[in-house]
Amino acid sequence: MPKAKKIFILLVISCLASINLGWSAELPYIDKSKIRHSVAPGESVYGEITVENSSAETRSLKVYLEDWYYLPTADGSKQFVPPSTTVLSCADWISFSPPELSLEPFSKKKVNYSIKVPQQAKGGYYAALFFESLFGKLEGQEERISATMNIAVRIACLFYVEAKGTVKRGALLENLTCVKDKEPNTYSVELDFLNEGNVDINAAGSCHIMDRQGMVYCRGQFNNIYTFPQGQAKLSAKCKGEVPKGNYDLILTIDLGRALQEANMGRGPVITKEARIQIGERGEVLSLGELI
Amino acid sequence: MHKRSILTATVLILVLGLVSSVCFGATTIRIAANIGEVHQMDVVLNKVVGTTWTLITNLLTEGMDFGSLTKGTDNVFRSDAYFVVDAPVTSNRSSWTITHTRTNFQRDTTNNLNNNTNVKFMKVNNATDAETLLSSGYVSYENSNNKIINSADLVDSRLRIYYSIAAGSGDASGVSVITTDKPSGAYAGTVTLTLSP
Repeated sequence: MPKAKKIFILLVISCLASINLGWSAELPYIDKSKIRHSVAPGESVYGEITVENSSAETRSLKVYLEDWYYLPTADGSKQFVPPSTTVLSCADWISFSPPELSLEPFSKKKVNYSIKVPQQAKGGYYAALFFESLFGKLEGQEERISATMNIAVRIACLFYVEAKGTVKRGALLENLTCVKDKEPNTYSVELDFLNEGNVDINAAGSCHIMDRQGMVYCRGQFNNIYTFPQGQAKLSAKCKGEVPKGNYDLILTIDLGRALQEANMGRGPVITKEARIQIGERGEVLSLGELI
Repeated sequence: MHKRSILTATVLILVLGLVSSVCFGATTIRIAANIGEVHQMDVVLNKVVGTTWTLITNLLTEGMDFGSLTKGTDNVFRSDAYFVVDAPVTSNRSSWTITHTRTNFQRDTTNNLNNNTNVKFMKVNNATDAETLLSSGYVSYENSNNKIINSADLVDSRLRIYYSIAAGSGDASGVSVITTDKPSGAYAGTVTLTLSP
């Protein structure tokens, strides 16, 4: 590991230690929490995850796979379910070693993995590799009512596997609304997003209102949304700026490739749509045209 | 004369500029840094009896042991202890999520304490230690499954979770006391805290 990287990690951990928590379990950490691979069907890819124990005690971890999917809130919240139980699971394609780790104080180990993408794979597939520490396996007394609760702490490393050459990244944007907000000089812009492709999409974007000469009067940022194929989400933005009475264009720019950028795998498609918008004397929206 | 002075000064500046660029400009140092990812969650467990907090320093042997519950004169079983779990996250990702899941808090498949136990999700300010209840943060153990806390909910704060056996007053909605109807035995459960990007 480069020296600068080590120093940074130590700094982060020191900052945390400065928070007055007293004693803490100081659990191991992993160096990758999202892994995205683009692999041609029928081929394999290999990699490793480093697990580091920064505490003065030996730590034991159990490593195992599960499936996951984005919840309908589309804000990135996830549901974890047993492996190979979802349509887009790639848990069966992943082999890893070792399944259990014992980390000496201030030591690190690597977990190696391989992913073999089947010939018939199309689009995106997903799984999560967990690193779990289990504490206090307690047993109560049978003759009375006794109550004991165990704690397990696990860290997820999410796998995103794309079958190279088969990925379709696209979305349908519809049901655009734009209304004047209670806040002065603010417009609430909303629209429905449908992931029409066959891969996960992390999208965000911007909107602005401009006149025919290209003068921009109002700008806003859409929320980040996270969807699986056929997943739906609501994009919403507060567009801020004073817009005089008149006819304008409402321009929307939605970037579908944020996940690719995050993984340094290039840029994804960007959708640009516009609709005619008529603003009244008090800044109210008199009419909103179709999204084209 | 004035024009000549300006010309001389201009030539001087150009010459000095050229000399300095030869002397100093030739040395270009490129600075590069690769910051690795850090993704970690710790746990701190305290047992509280009355107003006394006791740190559990060995989580491997000591978990949340409420012990034998005590039957009061009102025939209600209570515990004089409750537990507090702090779960600070160290991550340089822009966003992350903690998910709280649970198994049944049970003796067997028909008898459990899921609706006799309170779970309270708080955020604790790292600087002031001030506590704030998270949205829909006081629930029964039954309803604590799949509780999701996003990094946006914990800005400058850490997650704190309280686990307590029903006391009969101040309990979460849907939580009732343990009466003598509940069969004796060892009730056990596991809560799992998952950190994901």
